[in-house]
Amino acid sequence: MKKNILLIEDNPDDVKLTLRAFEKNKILNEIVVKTDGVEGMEYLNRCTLLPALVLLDLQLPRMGGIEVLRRIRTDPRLKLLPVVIMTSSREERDVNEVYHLGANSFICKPVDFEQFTEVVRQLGMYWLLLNEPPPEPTSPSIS
Amino acid sequence: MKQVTDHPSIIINQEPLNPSEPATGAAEKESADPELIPTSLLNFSEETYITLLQESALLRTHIYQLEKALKNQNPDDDGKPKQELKERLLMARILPASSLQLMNLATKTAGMGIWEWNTTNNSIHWDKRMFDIYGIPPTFDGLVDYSTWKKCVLPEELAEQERELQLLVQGQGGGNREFHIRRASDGKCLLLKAMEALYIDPVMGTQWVLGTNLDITEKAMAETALMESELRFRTYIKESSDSMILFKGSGSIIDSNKATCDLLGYSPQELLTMNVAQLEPDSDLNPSREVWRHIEPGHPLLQEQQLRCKNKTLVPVEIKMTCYEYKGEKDYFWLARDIRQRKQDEAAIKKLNNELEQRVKERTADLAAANQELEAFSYSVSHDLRAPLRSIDGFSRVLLEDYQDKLDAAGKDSLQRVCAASQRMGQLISDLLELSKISRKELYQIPMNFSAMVHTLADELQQQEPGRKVEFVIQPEIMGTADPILMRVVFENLLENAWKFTARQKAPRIEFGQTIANGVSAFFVRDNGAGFDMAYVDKLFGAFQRLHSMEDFPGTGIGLASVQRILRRHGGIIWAEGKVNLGATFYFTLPETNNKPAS
Repeated sequence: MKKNILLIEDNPDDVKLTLRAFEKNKILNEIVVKTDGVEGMEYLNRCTLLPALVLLDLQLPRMGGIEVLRRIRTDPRLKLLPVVIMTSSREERDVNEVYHLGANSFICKPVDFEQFTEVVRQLGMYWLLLNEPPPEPTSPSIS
Repeated sequence: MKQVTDHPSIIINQEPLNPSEPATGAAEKESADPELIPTSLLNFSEETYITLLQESALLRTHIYQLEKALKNQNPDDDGKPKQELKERLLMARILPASSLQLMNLATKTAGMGIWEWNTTNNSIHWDKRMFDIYGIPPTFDGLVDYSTWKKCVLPEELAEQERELQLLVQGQGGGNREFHIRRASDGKCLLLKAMEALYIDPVMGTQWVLGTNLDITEKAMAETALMESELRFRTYIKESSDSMILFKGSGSIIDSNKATCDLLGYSPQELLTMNVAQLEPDSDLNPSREVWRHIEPGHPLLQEQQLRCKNKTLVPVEIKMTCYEYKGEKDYFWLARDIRQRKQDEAAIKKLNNELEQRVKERTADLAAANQELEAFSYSVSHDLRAPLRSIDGFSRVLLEDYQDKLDAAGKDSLQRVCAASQRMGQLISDLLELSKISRKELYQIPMNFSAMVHTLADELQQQEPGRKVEFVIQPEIMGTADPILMRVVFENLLENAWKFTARQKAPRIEFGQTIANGVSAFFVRDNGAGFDMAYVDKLFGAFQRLHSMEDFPGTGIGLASVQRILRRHGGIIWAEGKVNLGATFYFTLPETNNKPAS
């Protein structure tokens, strides 16, 4: 069973464009979309199989992306999850903070859709094909 | 002479005069050993001397009588009364001799001259000190002519003095006079104090004037000097704008000046009845109260405190406190300066300073707030404006891709323009954010090699467009001190501009180096490209200002604004020279200390 991708993004346009970019690049993994941090965390805590990748926006309602990242990294079950920050901002503050919190990558979404598609293609290629995923955590129910 | 032998001096020739001795004023006086003289004698008043003289004269008369009686006695008489007379004479001589000696010693010490005038036979005797005072050689027997004295007295005072003497002889005056003489020996003007008394010989009926002369010139001069000095210091104190208060160890005020009265509102008389404690505010308000009690002579104390005025108000003063010791008792002196004005000035300055500080704080807070706003704005610009742009561009492309067959050429062209515009706006936003980042970035200046940086950037440009052939002329080893990250932005922009504007040049050439321009050492980037019209040179460095059309040379107009901002932050300046189609040169400086001239 192919692992899915969790996209936490509140902007429906960006969601649609991201999905389109994945589709165009023939990335067939299921993409689960959550539109705020709280929903995103709920999904992660509930799911039996962790996603292959979390695409995380920073500006989110209810719980911001930085808080989501912090929770993922402090949760023993989630802490090895590959998290790629995808945001419109290139604020140095943010870059600095998310790397310190243990983000795997920081990507500034380009305005140009062609560039954006290319970014998504490379992302999928790298994280889903090239990168050796971290070992699956032993689930609490098994132990 | 005969007369004199018959009527000898009644007191004077107790001490034989030696005519060979020079008549100097001080010689005799100095020879007296004060230690041998009872102090009581030194303190004799002139009146006492006169009384002594009169008593001496009486004794002398008595002796004279006895001598005469002894001489006139018949040698045939039995020796008994003669023997008795002799014994009485001996006793009379011994008694006055001792008292006269004492008097002599006293007058000698005081430098006082004694004279006597027998008005009956008009003979005048002086003792040796009289001759000394008048600067006249002593006569053998002390006899002096009246005219001798007259000649010495200052002419303008003579008439008055003679009148006084006349009154005395008539028994109508008790002389106590002062007059000036001109000393015969050197013409020096002396002030003499004279006292006389009348004496009538009870036996002979002879009338005598007995007198003393005392040279008080020096004493008078000293007194005058003292008075002058007193007057001078009085004036200083009176006219001083500082308050002065003199008081005893008990605190009772013994003197003050006008400034004190003006300052405290008391009259001089009131102050004389007061104690300094009344001028010092209560101790709980004033810890320095009575601090004057601890000062010692020669160790003045300067302190600020308050004094209480008559109307109960308190005046801030700076007091210099001194004390001096006289005969074992300490007197204290306050020199107080009114520092109300100074205090007011100090308060005003403090207030101004506080206000200034407050204003600086407010401004700083304003600035910090403005900065925060700017940051928030930048953040929201980058987030909120770029997201919709991405949608515009993205969905335009969706249309172009998914509905290709339903769109005609004009429709496709329109959508492409939408995409281009949104991308351009995205670029503008990025550049604007870059510019704001440049302004906010902290400067980190280190010595660096500009030539090496230009080389690297030139290579990058060449790699991006391998099809273009541009000649780079870079002066080697040009060094400077600057922030490398920001300098990279400077060179990137200047070189990209040069690269861009030489695109239509057949033999494009870009130079970098250091030269003297406008009289200063400046770095330059020169190209032989499109150049510009100097009429628009002032628009070159403004944000979003462009001198070329987008079709000719694309760009956002942010680059040179960023360059100028970076150089200004370093303390440098930038300017440009250009000619249409003949290229442009950008000169820039960094502060002198940062520049190392090309070796």
